[in-house]
Amino acid sequence: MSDDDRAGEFGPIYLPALQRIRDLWLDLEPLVEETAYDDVVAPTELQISLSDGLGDAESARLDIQWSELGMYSFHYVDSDDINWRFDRHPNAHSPEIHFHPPPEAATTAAEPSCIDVTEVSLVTRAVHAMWRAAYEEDALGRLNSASNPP
Amino acid sequence: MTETWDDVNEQVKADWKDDTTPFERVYEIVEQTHDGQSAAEIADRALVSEPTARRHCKTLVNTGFAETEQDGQTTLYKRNSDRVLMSRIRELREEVTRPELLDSIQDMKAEIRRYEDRYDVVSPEELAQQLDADETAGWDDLTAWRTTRQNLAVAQAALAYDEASHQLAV
Repeated sequence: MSDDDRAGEFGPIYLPALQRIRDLWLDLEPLVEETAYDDVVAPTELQISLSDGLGDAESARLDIQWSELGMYSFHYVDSDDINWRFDRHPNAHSPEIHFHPPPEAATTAAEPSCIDVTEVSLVTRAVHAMWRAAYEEDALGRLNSASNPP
Repeated sequence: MTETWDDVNEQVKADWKDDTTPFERVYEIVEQTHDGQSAAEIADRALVSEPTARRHCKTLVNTGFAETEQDGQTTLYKRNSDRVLMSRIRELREEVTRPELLDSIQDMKAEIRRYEDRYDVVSPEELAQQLDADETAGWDDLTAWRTTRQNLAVAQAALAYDEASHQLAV
């Protein structure tokens, strides 16, 4: 992970949370092609590969971390090098729960996140809903918008 | 078809409730609870009533999935860390060969030595004391160190379990 904007305890990675996140994405998202840890014996993140991406991107990947302290990072990157990230961790730049917007997900460009639920299933569902809305409407601006009116 | 919602946070709670039973939600919350919590706190997080949470927590204690601690009159529940460890050991024994496990153990030991050298400390706890809350340098390494230390201990336990299991089978 190239986050390097953490300032404070994130906590060790909690695998039962990553397993829940993986199972939920497999349930919710038809574009999931493959899921894997970055390392089978020494995992530090879950990687979910998608067979399509936002806009013209042909594929995408989510790199996901979840810690024993309930801190998290959902980092999207696609074949057009578009990045965005939903994060929860102590830092020197913004609220603990925050969003790094596309296209670069730059550390300095964090904004408050529209996600305020904290349980692993709820956060995962919220990130998935955001991704789906942006994907189907082809609108990056949808990503951190709490409402999605009809 | 795109789902529509007024507030994504309320929407995902409704979806979670629709897709799961109260027992499944209590199970997940206990699985994600590392410091003991009361049935009331678990009920709140699992979107169930307190009596429902207490009943399911007791079931989870009986099956060995949850464990309890006492805070005066209040029983606190959390996940049983032994169960988490055992299921991870089982996973490693199913998915990884012994040489792969040995290789990975060497790599993780080397990674930990690099952290010790880089920061001139002997543990992540000591590193945490040295890190400044205003700076970002080092915090990622702290998480990586803690995670690798756990992964290393689990890999070594899987190896030892394998040997014990082999001995008993002879």
